[in-house]
Amino acid sequence: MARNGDRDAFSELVGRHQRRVWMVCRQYVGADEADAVAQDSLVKAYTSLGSFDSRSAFTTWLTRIAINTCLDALRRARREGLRVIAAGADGAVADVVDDDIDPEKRSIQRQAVDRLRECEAKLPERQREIFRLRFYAEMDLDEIAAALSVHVGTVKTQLHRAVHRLRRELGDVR
Amino acid sequence: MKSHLTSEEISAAVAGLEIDAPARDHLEGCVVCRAEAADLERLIAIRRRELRTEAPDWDVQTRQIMDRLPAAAGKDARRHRRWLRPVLALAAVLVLAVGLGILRSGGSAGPPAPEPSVEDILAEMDELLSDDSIPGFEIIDPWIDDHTMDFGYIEPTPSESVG
Ligand SMILES: [Zn+2]
Repeated sequence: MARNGDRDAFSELVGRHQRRVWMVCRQYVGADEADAVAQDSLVKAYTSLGSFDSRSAFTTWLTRIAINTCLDALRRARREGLRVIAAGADGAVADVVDDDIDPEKRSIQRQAVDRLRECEAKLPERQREIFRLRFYAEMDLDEIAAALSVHVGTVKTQLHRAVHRLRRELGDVR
Repeated sequence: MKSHLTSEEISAAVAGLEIDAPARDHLEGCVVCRAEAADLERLIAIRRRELRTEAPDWDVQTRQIMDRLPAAAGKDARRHRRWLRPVLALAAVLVLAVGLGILRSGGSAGPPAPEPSVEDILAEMDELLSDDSIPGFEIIDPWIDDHTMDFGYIEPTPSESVG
């Protein structure tokens, strides 16, 4: 296969998968690092394309690379004594609450979203990871199970616990 | 009709897990239960939108990734060649040995063809290897090479391992 052909095809793959890869990385590393780690993941995918078994889903394979790249980056940061910013706990966030509601309700909603971030950060690690992959990276249960090499039953149990705990801690948010 | 869903059932519905048919039917028709489920769903949707606002410029990201590719591939190719050459040398010697064996046992009817030297075969292999487009070198996963599967890594499934 011509090198240029490889590159063109890969550029197309990047376009198709970069949003998901970035969103997965964003769940593990802070906002500042997500782009760099997502890029590393996609470059690794390119150099590892030969190891991809076409019987498995490409997105799952790519997601595994992204997750491992994130864990690697986190470990390296810890080894180097760098401050690891907990994903989702970063300071500034965009104000994207619903704008079709009155200011008072907007403020309540804003606070509720902030509390969601705080409660989410306190979830047990596995629950938090699965919750974020499900709702933010929008992966389905089978994809999460395959990407994390766990049984789909484990994903369901952990996801249910995460949602239930968040609902209990957030209480009435209307 | 089933009474309101339990909190556990609402959580299961929010998580997108299966709930039994009576609970599902109730949820479809009950404003109270639906509103309760929608509370967290709404917050999650807002949080997802927030996260998306942090996303990079996708075109810039694609360009930056594409700019990094040749160097990454070149490094792998060089690494691959380090161990590939001795393997090919051994293969060349074996090919010669087998070829000589066949000639000596009278397997060939025509006049003996000039024997290629090990150097000739290796030179040909080097030429082949200098062409980055040959299939094969990209099957080596430099990333698996570089990293032990220590704690926190996801073990590749057998079907995905390098082979
Ligand atoms: Zn109800």
